[in-house]
Amino acid sequence: MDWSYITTGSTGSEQALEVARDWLRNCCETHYNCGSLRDQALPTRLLDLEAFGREGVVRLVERPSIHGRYAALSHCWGTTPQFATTKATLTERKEKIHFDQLTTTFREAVQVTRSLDIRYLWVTCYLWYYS
Amino acid sequence: MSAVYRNAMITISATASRSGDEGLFRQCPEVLVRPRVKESPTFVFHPPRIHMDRYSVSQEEFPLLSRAWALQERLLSLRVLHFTNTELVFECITDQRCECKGIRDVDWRDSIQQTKCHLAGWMPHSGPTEIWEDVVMQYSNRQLSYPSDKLVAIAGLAKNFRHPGHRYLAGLWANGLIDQLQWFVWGKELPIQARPTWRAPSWSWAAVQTPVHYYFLNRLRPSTESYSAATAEVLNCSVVSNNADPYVEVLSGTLQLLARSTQVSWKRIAQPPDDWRGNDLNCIIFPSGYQIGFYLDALIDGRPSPGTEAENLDITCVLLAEDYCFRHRRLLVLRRLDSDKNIFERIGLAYEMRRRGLFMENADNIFPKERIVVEIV
Repeated sequence: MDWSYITTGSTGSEQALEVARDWLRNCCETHYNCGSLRDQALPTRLLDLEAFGREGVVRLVERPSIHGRYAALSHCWGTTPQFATTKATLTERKEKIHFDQLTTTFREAVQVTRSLDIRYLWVTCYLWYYS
Repeated sequence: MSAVYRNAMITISATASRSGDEGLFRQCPEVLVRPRVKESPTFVFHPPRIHMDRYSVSQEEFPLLSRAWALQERLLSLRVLHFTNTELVFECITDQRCECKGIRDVDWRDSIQQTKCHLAGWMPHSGPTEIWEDVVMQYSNRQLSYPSDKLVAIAGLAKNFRHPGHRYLAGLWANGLIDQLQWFVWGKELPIQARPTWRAPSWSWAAVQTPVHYYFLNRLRPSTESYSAATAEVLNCSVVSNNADPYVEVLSGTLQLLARSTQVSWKRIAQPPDDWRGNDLNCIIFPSGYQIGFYLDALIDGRPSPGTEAENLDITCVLLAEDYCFRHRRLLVLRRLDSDKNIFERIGLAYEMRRRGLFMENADNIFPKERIVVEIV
């Protein structure tokens, strides 16, 4: 039977994210052209979502390893103030970043990445370094 | 930065959000329905989903898809998870899925997949020139906050694009140039606009602000092999950039064609005839009186008003390409910049096509036989 996966409620519900996890798993396991789950070169700066457990706050890490898995975020910057990391905030952000310091989109991207079992997240303006 | 998207396991796309405050998640629209039958259960009814279309991207529904910068992020990613207003959409090189499955009926799927496939190093059905023209059409429909970013916001994609020879000339590839020069401004979605501050030579699509089109993408299009002997030949094409990165910023560019060319006049006609191809009633008239409509690239000074001919402009028409069966012909409309030399600026493209048994005028009747060198900047 070829059912539609229509979910109810929110696109962020556990049910919807379960569907997304299925799609990703199916792609990694069965699509020859898309490549398997092998690790790729990590960007120099990332958000580590598991530094304080899967529910806790996140922090900025610099090259945690050469290879690994991460998710990237593509979004409109809009009029949101830029969260570029500077010399002044770098040390602080390597300690921890509280959720209230993140915009709604970043916070929800953290939730999605975690539910896809991916440890690192790359967010443009957060991780660009301005000296 | 393109490597970040290329190497990511998945890209989470805030497709329905205008800014970082709007978040990813949305309540899915649904209606509870209970038939008027005793003890009937309640059914959940889902209104039809709106799916992403190919070019004329609905800005209200998918704000991210109207942003120029976001195109390369989407195309370079192996996998994308879109958060739309109504559902999740998954996109990879092999497949596209959405919760309601309606996306399988959307006809642009193939175009996104072909490009992703090409970028990932696999062999798609279409050739690289066709794929690139498709990318240009999609890209030119999107908006930039800073017009000077026109070549910048697609540079990452261009650097990862595999085109034979890999010579990039202000948004076009040296290989297959005669084809790629055939872009035009339709003028339907957005009226023709003035030229922005100089950022590319006039023969590049990056020189105009408006969306550009190519005719007959992937089908019904004469291929390079079918060009007749009257088709122009590229003698030289080069661009100058000051920062050693020709993908990002271009200072000047020149294109030399060996082509049949003739002086024409530019008229704006009052009433277009049937089967007329052109925008804004623009038309070129050959010395013999033969008329062809054309697509003007941008508003320029000295443009004639409707019903009149341009008086102070020296307009030349160049035969760019023609197939040997005389079914299609493409002509460049140029404005002479220097009265002593053959240096021109491109101002438009004319497209002729044989239809309903009507034949195009034979090129020998409207152009001198001998090909001359024209330089377009």
